[in-house]
Amino acid sequence: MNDMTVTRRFSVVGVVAPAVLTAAALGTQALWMGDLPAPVAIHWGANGADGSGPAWAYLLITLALGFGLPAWLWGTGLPRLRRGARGWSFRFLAAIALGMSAFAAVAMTWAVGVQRGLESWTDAPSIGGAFGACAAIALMLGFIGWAVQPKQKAVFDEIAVDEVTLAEGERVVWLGTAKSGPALVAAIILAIVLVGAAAVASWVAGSFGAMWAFIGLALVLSILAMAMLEADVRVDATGVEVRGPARFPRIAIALEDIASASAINVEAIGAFGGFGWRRVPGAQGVIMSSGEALRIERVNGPDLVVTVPGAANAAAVVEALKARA
Amino acid sequence: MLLRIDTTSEESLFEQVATAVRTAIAQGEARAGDRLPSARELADSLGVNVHTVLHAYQELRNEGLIDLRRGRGAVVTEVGGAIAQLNRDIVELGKRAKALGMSPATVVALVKASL
Repeated sequence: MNDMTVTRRFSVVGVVAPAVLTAAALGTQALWMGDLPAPVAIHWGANGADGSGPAWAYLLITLALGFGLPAWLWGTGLPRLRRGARGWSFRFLAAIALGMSAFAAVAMTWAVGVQRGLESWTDAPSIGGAFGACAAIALMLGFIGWAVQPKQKAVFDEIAVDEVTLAEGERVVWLGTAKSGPALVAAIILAIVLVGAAAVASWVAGSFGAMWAFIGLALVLSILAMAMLEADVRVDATGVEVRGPARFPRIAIALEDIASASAINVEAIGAFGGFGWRRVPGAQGVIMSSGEALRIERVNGPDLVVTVPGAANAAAVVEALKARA
Repeated sequence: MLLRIDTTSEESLFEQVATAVRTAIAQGEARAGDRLPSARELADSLGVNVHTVLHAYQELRNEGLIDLRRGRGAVVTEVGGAIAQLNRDIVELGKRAKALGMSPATVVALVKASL
């Protein structure tokens, strides 16, 4: 498949098709707005409709759910693809976008359609079965969206590696720290603070079960954040080691298991689908930021990619150690 | 941060470790507040005795470049950070001296005289 095909199919699956679906859904819903009770049912429980709201909420939800991700892909994914970035997650996100917008379009339009001509929102019939069918349609379209796009092998531009030569009898260690960018740190802290606030709110409301659930969630988030935000990288005569705070998680590769080391520029979202300790076909990633990364190709097994400042230097040390071994 | 020592050198190992860390600090590879690896870990990586590294760390602490705190390990001090700035000035000095066609010996003599 040539490069044009990758970009074109990505935009058809991830942007154009969702836009068409969303527009059709919005158009249909708008036509039916006059025939609806006011307010309309917007939430269903086990015993039928149990929540109501204004009819325009459907338009908003359809737009947000149906065109939120596609708009983001259009704004950030497409330009990056055009600049030559490649990665399985572009393909994946486009397929997800199609599935999600299919679900939003069909399910929301269905929920509006069944309420035409009703006296009151409480008369709204159950839509559980229809939602199941919508989920199936969404899944199917998602799969189709994935299948029609060509396979994307992540491409990285290599950074020139420094030159390090080691004399006989010289001992060397390279140490670096992979750190997250401030935006990511802020987002995680905000998430923890919000969950903490939810715990306090539950306590005030006297709902202790919820309070403990939120406290547990805050703890899990904190632990995840610690593992996500920083990793130490060490290169020495034994090989390469990457480890999180508290020595966990940890990946170590012995020098003799290393085929080659290089430095590359990594697009976190494109190549690894996000940040943290990640596994994608063909590579393990310790991805704290986009940018400079050390890539270790194993003799046998997936590559290891770690975003760390000074990666070119680290790669040079690995190569020097290998050359002397 | 790249630390290298030479086991065939005449210079003592602890002095070499101290010099390597000092250079890393001066070059801004380890900044104020950065944590250095534990003595145990660095000793393992360099294949030297843990006491050699501890000795080097103590020397750096006496120079005020690092703090040694129980539980937190070795941390680069503000002084260490300031030295990195000084090193940038020195690099600048070197560039200007070169542009003026001064010999390294003259520059060194001038710097020595100013101390």
